[in-house]
Amino acid sequence: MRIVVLLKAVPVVGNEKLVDGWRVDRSAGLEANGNDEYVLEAGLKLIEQHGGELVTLTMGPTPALEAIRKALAMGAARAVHVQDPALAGSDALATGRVLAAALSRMEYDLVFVGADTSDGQGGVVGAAIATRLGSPYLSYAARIEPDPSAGTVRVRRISATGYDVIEAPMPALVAGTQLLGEPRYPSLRGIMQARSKQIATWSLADLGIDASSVGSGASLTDVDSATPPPARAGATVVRDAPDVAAERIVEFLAARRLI
Amino acid sequence: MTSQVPFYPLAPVLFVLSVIAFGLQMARHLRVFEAAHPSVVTDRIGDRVRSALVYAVAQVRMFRDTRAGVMHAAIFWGFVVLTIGTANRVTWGLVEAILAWPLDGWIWRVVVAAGQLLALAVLVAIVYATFRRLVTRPQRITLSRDALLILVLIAGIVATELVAEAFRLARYGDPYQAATLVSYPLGRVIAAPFSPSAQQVVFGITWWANIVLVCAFLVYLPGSKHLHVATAFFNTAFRKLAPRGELPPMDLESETATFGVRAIADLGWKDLLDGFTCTECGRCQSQCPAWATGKPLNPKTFIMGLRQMAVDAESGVPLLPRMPRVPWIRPSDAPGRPAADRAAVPDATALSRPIVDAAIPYDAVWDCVTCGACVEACPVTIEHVDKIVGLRRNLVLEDSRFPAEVTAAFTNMERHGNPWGQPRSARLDWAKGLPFEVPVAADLLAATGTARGGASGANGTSAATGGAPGADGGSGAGLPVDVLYWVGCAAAFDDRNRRVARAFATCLHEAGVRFAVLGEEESCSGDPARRMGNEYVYQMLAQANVETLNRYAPPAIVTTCPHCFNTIANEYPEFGGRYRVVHHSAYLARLVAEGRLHPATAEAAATATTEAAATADEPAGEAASRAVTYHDSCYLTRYNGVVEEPRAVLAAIPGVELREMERHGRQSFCCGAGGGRMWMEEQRGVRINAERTRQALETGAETIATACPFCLVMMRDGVADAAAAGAAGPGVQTIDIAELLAAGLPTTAGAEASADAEVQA
Repeated sequence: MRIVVLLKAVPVVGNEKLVDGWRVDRSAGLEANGNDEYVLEAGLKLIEQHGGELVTLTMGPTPALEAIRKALAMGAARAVHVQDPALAGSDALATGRVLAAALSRMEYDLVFVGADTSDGQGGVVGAAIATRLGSPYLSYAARIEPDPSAGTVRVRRISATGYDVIEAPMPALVAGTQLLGEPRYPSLRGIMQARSKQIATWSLADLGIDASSVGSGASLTDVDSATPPPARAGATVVRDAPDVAAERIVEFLAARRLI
Repeated sequence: MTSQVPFYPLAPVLFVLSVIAFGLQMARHLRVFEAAHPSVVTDRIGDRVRSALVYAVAQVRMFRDTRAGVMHAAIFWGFVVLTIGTANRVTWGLVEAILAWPLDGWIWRVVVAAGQLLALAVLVAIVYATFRRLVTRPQRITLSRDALLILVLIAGIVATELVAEAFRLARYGDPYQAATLVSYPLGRVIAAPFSPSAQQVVFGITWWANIVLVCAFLVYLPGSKHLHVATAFFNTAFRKLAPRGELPPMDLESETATFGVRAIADLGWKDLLDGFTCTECGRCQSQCPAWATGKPLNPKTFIMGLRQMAVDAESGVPLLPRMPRVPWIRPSDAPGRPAADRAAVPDATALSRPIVDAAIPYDAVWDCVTCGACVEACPVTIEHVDKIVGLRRNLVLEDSRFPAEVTAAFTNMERHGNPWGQPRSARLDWAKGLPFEVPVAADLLAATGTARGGASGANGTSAATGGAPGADGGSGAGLPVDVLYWVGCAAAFDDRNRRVARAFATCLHEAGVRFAVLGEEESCSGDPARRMGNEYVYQMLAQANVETLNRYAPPAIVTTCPHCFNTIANEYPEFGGRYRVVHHSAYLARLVAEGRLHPATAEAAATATTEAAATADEPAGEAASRAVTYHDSCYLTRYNGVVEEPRAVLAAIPGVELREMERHGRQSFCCGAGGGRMWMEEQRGVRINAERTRQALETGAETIATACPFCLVMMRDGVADAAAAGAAGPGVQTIDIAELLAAGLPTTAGAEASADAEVQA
């Protein structure tokens, strides 16, 4: 079984900063996107179960290496890092084009992607890639069960009322959620082994993509304005004994018709 | 004398053979030591000799349990003196010949008399020990065949000696019979009715019984838990002399070594000696808060388990090369073991067998609060905590195996520099609303223009430059302050502990101390990561903190957290961070002693800072006395010996009546949050904080004073639970000593009010 996990490096949640008033600062302090870690964990478990190889695919600037190294420490066999100065400012559509081009140069049975990312929160790149590759797209996966002998993958997709069980032939692209389970904490042994694992760096030229077709200039999405959220309004701190406190919280919520 | 013994020359021969059997078995133990890691025991010789004299000869820790201590001393000294007699008996009376020569034989008379009295004392002690094991049965003692057999052997050796001597004196008499204080009169009673030949027969039988028992004891000893008579001296001499709060260093760069401790081969040989010294007395067990609250951790069975693993590893090694099996020496030498197994080196499989789930259950490894009560209790200086942390290191660094909830704490320390996962930018939120400014180190340096560039500001000399309250700090090289307040994550981010930081800062301000804080430049000291076995995250945090601290070169550092205190003082030197570190209890005690702080009454203190709304209405100002109990923090008291200072602070507050719990000072009972337990769920057994709260409430105190942020939270929660269950009155409060002290200071009332208003706005 060959699994590619799309791994995005995002600013540490809560520490996001904007440059030029609109672009997310990716110059330092990046970590692996939370949802991507869930699908990575699911992928690692599947490899443990079925054998094979898990490779991560990342598009991002040099500081993304920290997230890539963590994925390798967690157990990914190797990593592909698409990096090119011309990529800065790419929107979801451009990102999908680049990652689809990279994937078409790789061999895989399954591609895993997090349901969305904590910085962009678009949640459309996975679908965009699947569309370009013409492969099945199974979203909001809470459980992923491939059947290598039958060449199919079955996914439990969460819906508003419960879950659907959907199945598709492989190769397929699966977007996963937190319900897949907590990611493992890399051991020091894993961190040391990761140092000798291969990280292939691909440029736009390697992928045969014209630099003018990606990046902020070529993106169809424009950011009109970006503002940090207003400082949190004054919080009410209840310091009473538990029984009194519970009453006061109920009163507070009831007064606002929240319960 | 020896001429009176039938077949005498056989006795020395038997004895020498027994000594050889003893020596060969001991040598086999050493083969396992050889397979373990080296332990450094050759430094600080003077301290080591002193340690052996204090712990192995004077046995000071044995007397904490007075009756057991006296009993043990009787047996020990009896054994020492009776050994002189034994030596005499197997050397054709050589010892007597030497000792009886000077001073007209008075030295020998004293030895004989002392031996006789001590023999009697040993018999009494043995009776008491047997009674304890079989009748009163203290919980800490394991009832085993081994233990009873040893008691029988000792009793037999002493009794046969007394009886043999009684019949010998009755039959032959002796120039020193007047000094034979027990046997001579005894002989006149029990031996007199017999004929001389019958006396000779009884003498011969009992004399030989005595020698045979002595030899049996020697041969039996190396496989028995009683081996401590041979190892305790060495174990106490080779004990850990580094600060007790300093965990063993660890090389994270080694590609080949096992991280931490997985098997006994990963331990130092001193750790194995610990196992061979353990006598199963169970003092560790009786002090262990995890065991006391029904958890699977038992420090005694852990150490005995390690010993068993070492014994298993050596069991295939023959006593002599190509030696036939000797079934009666060790059960493991019994027939049935294939001869091919018998190699000259310890069994590699046994040496590399995982300790976890063999000597100690997996859950128990994580139940340890690293409080060190076991280490403090052990009469023969066994180190339990370092080994448990070694196991955790292996589980974390090699296998990533730890309670699930710990992941968040690890990740938070790694990413945010604090286990709570709060943003760095919130580090100074605790100071908001204080009526005075809390200076930040970076701003101070920028303002005074004395910044020392980069990380090159090595600081090895600040320890000598004072930094005591009132000393003229700012030696020109570092920060222009008297002291740097290391706030710690708990006081920076935990709502309850922010009040402690405010109270302590108020005390400093009120006393006119020039201080500063690091603000966003401060990170977790790394203590929780280190104690949970994550040496990788610990070293990352420690190195960054040492770099920051060296840049500012503060004349002294004061902490409100005993864990930060312990790590910065005892563990940062390894990374080149040598500072004068003071805990806030000691700092406040000095400010009070120097007359720089004038505490208000305890009643005012209680009213001004109480958490419970119920007591806020109580009339203030009256100097009524208030019963306060003080809960000692393990890392302050046991690990660093700060016992009197917090009590001095309490004593300085008018109206405080200190009521000690039974377990206080170095025998304190952990709150349950040490060793990273603050970030773990406690699902097994009773909650440790509930048990400690019960002990605190038992004193009848209305106030539980603490000097540690974790203790404060644990005791507060314990009191809240007890109040909900009706076991504590609504007026019982948990409070840091700094808050008690600050409460009556002029700056305080307004500060707390405005701080509350701010968070409630």
